[in-house]
Amino acid sequence: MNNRNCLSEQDLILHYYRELPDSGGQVRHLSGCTLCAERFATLSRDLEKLPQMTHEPDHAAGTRMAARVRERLHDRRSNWLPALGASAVAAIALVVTLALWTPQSPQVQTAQIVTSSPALTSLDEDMPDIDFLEDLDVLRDLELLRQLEGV
Amino acid sequence: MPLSTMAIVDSLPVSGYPQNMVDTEEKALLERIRNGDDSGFEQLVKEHTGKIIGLAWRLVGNREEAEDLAQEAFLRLHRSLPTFRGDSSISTWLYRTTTRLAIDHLRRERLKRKLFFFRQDNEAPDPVELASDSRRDQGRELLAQEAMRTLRQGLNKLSARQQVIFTLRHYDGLPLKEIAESLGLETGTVKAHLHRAVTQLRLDMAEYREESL
Repeated sequence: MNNRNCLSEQDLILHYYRELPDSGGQVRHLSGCTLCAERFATLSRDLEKLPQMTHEPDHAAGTRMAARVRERLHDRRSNWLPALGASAVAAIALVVTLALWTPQSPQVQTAQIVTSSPALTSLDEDMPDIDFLEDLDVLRDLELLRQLEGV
Repeated sequence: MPLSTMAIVDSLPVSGYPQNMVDTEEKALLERIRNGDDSGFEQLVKEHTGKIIGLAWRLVGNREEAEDLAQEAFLRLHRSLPTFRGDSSISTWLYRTTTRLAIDHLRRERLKRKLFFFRQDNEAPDPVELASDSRRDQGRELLAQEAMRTLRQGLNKLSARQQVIFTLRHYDGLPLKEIAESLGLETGTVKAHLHRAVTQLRLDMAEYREESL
């Protein structure tokens, strides 16, 4: 680029693809600037030399694709049916279970707790909390100090 | 669009995506499909297959993968039909979906190559072998194949987005504004991607030309 009005590479590319708005006068500049014109010509040559991507139409492709899609849709539907059946069976089982289930009364629950308490007691007996007993001694000493202060 | 690329745009009008609104005929077809007419959907698939496979092939460079992408696009269309409002034509919808699927596919392929050091280029036929094959035309066809191979290699070096934007603009002749809309990007971003893609491809093709001299 020989001066600040020369087009950037991006502008040249956009101009090639007819995407450059001429609000800034770039296109006008291009027609008057030899260097930019030369750069543009090189770019155009390079892009025009790119190999063509010719897609040869396959007339049977449509029928083949329709068959493929139909098969997939069929698979999807047939996969849905067992899943739907399994879900329905599970839902029915849940409803039946809920209908047959009667909630236990609070007395029964309390009884369970009571029955479990002896086990806890025996555990306490087996493992007395020594630290806790030591804390009690400290509290007794504290009470004694208060009494002495009161005197 | 440059004259040299006009001939290869076999699937799209120069103005870009096909019509923007669903026309009466298409509306009637959609209604038939919504009412459970499976043959209507098959008709739709048959009508659009050529264009969609063509687009996918240009984007991913492999016929088999292009057909898989096209199939996925049609399946997605089938899923979307109950809620298809007709803001855009089916053709536009399919183009956009295929483009997005292609970007995802290309990203996955690039990641695979990075993870497994897999190089797709190695699967391409060796030009020396091709040249030694007496059944093949050893002249222009070989050169054309080699040029295409170099172009594909160059495209593979780009990011998935750059590759798709370049292909849609250069080979499909889509306006940048439409490309931006279909990819959910700003037009400025699309311009920058196109610039980077063209710059990189020019370098690759120049190297190829020097080597082949």
